[in-house]
Amino acid sequence: MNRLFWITAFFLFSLQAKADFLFINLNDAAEEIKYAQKALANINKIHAQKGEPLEELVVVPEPLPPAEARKLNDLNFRLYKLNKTLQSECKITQAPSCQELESMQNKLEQEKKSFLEKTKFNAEVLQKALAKQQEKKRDFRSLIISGHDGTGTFSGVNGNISDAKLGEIFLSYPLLSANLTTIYAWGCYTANPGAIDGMWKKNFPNLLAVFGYDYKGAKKDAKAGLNYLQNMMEKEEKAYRAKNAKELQDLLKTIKGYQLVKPAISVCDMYATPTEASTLTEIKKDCASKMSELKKIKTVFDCYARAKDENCYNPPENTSVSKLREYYELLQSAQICEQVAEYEAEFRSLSKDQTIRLIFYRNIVANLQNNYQKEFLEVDKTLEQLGASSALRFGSVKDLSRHDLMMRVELLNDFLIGQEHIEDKPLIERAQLSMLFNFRSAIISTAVNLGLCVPFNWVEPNAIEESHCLNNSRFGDENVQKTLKNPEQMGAGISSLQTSIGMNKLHKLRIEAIKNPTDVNRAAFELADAEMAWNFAKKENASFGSLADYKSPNADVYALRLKRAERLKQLAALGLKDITKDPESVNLALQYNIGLIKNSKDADSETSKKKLLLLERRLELENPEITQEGRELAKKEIGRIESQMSDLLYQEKLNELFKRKAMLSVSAKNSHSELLDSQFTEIYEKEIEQIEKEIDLMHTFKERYASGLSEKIFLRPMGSEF
Amino acid sequence: MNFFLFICLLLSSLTAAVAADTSAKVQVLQMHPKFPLEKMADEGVELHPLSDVGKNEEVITAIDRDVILNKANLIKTTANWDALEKDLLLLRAEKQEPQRAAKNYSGKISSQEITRLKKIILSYRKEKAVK
Repeated sequence: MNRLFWITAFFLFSLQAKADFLFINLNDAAEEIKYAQKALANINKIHAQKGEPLEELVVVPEPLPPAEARKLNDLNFRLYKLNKTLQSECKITQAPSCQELESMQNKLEQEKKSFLEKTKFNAEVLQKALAKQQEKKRDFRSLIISGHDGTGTFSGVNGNISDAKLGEIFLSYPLLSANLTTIYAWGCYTANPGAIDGMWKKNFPNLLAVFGYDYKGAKKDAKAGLNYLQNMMEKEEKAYRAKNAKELQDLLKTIKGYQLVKPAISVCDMYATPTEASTLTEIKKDCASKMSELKKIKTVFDCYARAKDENCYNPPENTSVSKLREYYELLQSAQICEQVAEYEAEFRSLSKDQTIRLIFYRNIVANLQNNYQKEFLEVDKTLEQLGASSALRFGSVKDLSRHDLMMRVELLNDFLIGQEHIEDKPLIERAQLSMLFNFRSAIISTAVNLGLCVPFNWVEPNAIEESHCLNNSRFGDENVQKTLKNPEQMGAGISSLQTSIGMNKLHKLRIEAIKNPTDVNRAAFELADAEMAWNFAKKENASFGSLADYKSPNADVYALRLKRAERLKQLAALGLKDITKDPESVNLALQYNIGLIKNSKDADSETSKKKLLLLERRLELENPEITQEGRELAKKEIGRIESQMSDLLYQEKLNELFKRKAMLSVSAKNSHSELLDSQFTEIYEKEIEQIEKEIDLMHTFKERYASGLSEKIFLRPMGSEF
Repeated sequence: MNFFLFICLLLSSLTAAVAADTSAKVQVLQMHPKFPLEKMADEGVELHPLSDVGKNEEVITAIDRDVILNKANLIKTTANWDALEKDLLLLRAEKQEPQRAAKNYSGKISSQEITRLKKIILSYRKEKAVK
């Protein structure tokens, strides 16, 4: 919409109507309310001189009256002291005086609750408050919201509300919000370009101006933040008159103590911080070009980080002039893109710390070698004793190229996951393997990942300093000796070693199954996954070993899963098609899911009971001896339950897909840094795309639910790859 | 939570896993601003909102770095330096003894100036950690 039109409308409106401010007090910010009232008093003086209607400040929820606020403070202090006494004196003994203190604590907590009840805030409270204000024919032109902002939710001691909900509620009161053109968003990251476009303007379509913070907000009682609020309210009219972003920035710089906070203001398309004066459109455009340049040059970083291609075996020797250094420069200059919604996630995943360490990689490995020389020799000796191939020796790591070092780490990984029959190995061997697992983690976290485990000083030669993630007792002979004294705790216990081996094996098989999704590969992964589940269940048993009659109910359930996975592996090896439809596998899958529901915490809930019924009927259908009549009955009942539960099952399935997507995103993010396999990221990204397609399919299936596609939606035997 | 999901999450923390560590925290990282992270709060997983990603970086953002250099009266000295050189100066000042850090700047920046710079950086870090 044309800027001139809106600004004219704003002035015409402000001349004619009585427009008020709404203060949403999420964070019990009495001082901010006081400063907003001061500002309003000054604004009203001008209105009075001009004969215009005066404005009011409506606060929701109202803060406690001073006397009650003092009482609450006193209560908090007494509770604090009481908790300290309880923690220090009543932790071990249960003296009668402790019981008295505990009952006193309960009483005070109740009292506190009754105070907090009065200032509670949520969507319902807002709705009621707005309904009341609409009855009074109130017309809000500005909204001040004070709280902590994070992941789309504003929160504070009084409660919370999502930004989307806030907008939704406001828009449901059109008379109140039709002229809402200004937002004071007093929280962290509330007025950066991403928040303005992606949050405020989206949720409040008539919005013209946003005042707030582009980074961290000031604390609720910090003088600079309070001044900023008061001054900005008083200068709001001037802000609307600014002709360009520079003028807006000049105005911002007239605010008392602006240098002490991180203010950001936007009117129409203009955007200003103390260091930036531009338009939202320009910022986006600039970012689009910077991010595309960054993407191009990031291939250089990836190449050296992964060290797979021959021309990238080692980062450049010249640290002063290189493509890596160009990448670093661009990374710093594109900082503003972190604040643009479209690029935020992508930009945040790029690490400057890691880039610095890659530029100075040669110094880093030299320092690693110098600080852990003895341990490296001991690792090599252990590898020899355990019969590892002679190619798997680390020698002097500073003389290895990054490529050679990473190859050795991969060889070490293969060597460790190739270990079988741990239970038959002597304790000393288990202690050595456990130490090698530690070493593997240590070398990945430092020389491979190049993250914050590497002390900054290692970027310079001859730094005598230990890694943040390694102390000498974690690997080398010292660790083996320590482990021998306390094998379970130090990881040489059979089940913990099996777990470590299983986890690493699973990781590798998963990558194989995604890269090359044959039935054989997928079955191998499924089996490893089931073995892990089984081992966990067994471990659960073992940890209750002293209770002779205790048996984890999940052990039996996971045994079913293991059996199914073994069956799938056999079928895959035979080269059979559609192995997941094999009746025995389906039968085992259903029994496994039935067992899981029966053992779950909410087994008694109505939903669990219905799900159980559904699965039991499906199991009946799998029975070859079922009569025609029985089959019809079971099908009918399945249809009935599914139609009753369709929304819930759909939602559960959708949530599961969203979760899988989020989890794979973590893996994708970590694989950026783990770098052990150059294709990790691409593989996971492909998988995420698949899930997104599945989510789309779910929406389509839901629409087509009535036409008998329900099985495809809900019957996934294991929730696994198959 | 089904076991497969659990494993996926566990895998995500494998980089730091040690042999005995089977209790790795299940982590969910928000990779898109619209991902409904709050819906997962009751799942017993460790949630990382997007705004957390990269927040522990040692390198200070370019905007804040220049404000710090300005406060330390080093903006002119570093005027023709590239971003990496400026960032290295801040990191050295923060992590090293002033005399050692100053050696890298052969007379251009004294150990006293490094000490003052360090103070400003530390107070910046403190302020950043507060809210």
